[in-house]
Amino acid sequence: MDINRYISSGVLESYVYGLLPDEEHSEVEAIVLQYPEVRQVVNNLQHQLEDFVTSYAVTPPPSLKKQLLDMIHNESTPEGEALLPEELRLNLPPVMAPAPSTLATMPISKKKNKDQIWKMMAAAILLILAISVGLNLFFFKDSSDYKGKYQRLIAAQQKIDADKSQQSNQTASFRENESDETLLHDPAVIWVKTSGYGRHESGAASLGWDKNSREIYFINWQLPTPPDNKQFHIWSVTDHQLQDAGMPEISKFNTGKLQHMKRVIENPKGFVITLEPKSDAASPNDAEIFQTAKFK
Amino acid sequence: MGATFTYTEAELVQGLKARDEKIFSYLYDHYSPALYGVALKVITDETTAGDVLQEVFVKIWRSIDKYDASKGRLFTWMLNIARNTAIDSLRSKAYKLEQKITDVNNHALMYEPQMAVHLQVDHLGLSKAVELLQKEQRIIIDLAYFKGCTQEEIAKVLDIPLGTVKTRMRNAIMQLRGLLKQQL
Repeated sequence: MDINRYISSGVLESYVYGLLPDEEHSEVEAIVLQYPEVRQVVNNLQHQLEDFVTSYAVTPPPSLKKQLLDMIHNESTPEGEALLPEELRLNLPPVMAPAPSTLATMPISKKKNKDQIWKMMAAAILLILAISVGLNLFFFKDSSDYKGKYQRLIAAQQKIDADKSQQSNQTASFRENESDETLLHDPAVIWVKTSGYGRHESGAASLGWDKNSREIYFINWQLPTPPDNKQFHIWSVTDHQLQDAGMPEISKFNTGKLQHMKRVIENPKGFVITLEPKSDAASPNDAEIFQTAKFK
Repeated sequence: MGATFTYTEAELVQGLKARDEKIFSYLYDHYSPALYGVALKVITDETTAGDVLQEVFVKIWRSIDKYDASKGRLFTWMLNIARNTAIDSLRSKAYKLEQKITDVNNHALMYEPQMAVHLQVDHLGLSKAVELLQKEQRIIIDLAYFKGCTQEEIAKVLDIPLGTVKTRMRNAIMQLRGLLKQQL
């Protein structure tokens, strides 16, 4: 091999600056190990790249370092794992792992049969829909006479309901506040304030766990109202397992109010609050971790 | 970089392998500006660049056993991790070729001498050297290194033949080398 020609071919520059496809990259690595003079050139180019890149250095926001040190300090615990970016976790199952596709493992003949059943069902549904539309049109004329009376009845009913709920709400919210107040000071309930994950502020919510009833309580302080297509989701973390702890309601009307979430069977070691799309088809990567909490 | 190093690279590697959090903290203090700079150049969004930086350091912490000193220095290895993680993040955000084209147009504006924007902390006085690169050569280095474009993509974006990409890339790097030598 003509090493000088190889050095001047430009391939080493492209190698160091990451422009080579994988196979060529491996080839260069092998040659670098074999020829000291090539290695020297590559070494110089790497130095040059380091200098070049250093000219773009920017001090990162100071908060990042603390979060990072927390991550690596707790990396052997489930809570620490939950703090890590999903692809870097070692033990924890991914949040909301998609159900394994049964179609993928199904023999072709079975799949065909299943397809046919679906086709027939779809045809039947369409037929029923067509009949239903026809009947609706048929009865529409008759019903229009009753429509006015019906609407008046509904309006009257709504007024009665509204009056009733106004009365009962006053007593219910009082009772709720009274019992919630007790829960806040109940020694059987462990309360923690959540920590912010990534760019999210800490202390956006409080989570409580009742040792006796095993119920989880949630109070929102600063979590934003989610967009219509998304929802917040609370997960409890126990021994590398995530357990669904329910989806809290977030609105400006219930900020600071205690919400009763699901019961969990195991003692939680921590919690993760994610924002995720409401759709079942959403991938786990769509879930964004907002807050985490650690139970001692 | 400006700060005085009290550890050699070999000591840093050894400390990381021994799971020494103090060494990790030291490593972060000394290398995070350069690695964050790479993430910012690739992604431009500060929040995402911050997430990438954290991911990079967790990867360094967890993969230190995979570091092979025979292939290059620790800093080079960390730079590769930072660049690849940032580019993966860029791709996962479904940035398309159109985005890269927009970036090129934006960069072209920035490289006009009267519009030059000094976004970087200039530790070694190198930014001048980089600015002295011809506009076309600087764009080609940016596209290749910071945007992770393939040679084919660069040819398409800049509308030049594939063979020209390689020669222009080499010329750019050679010119950069000369400029850096003058500065150091």
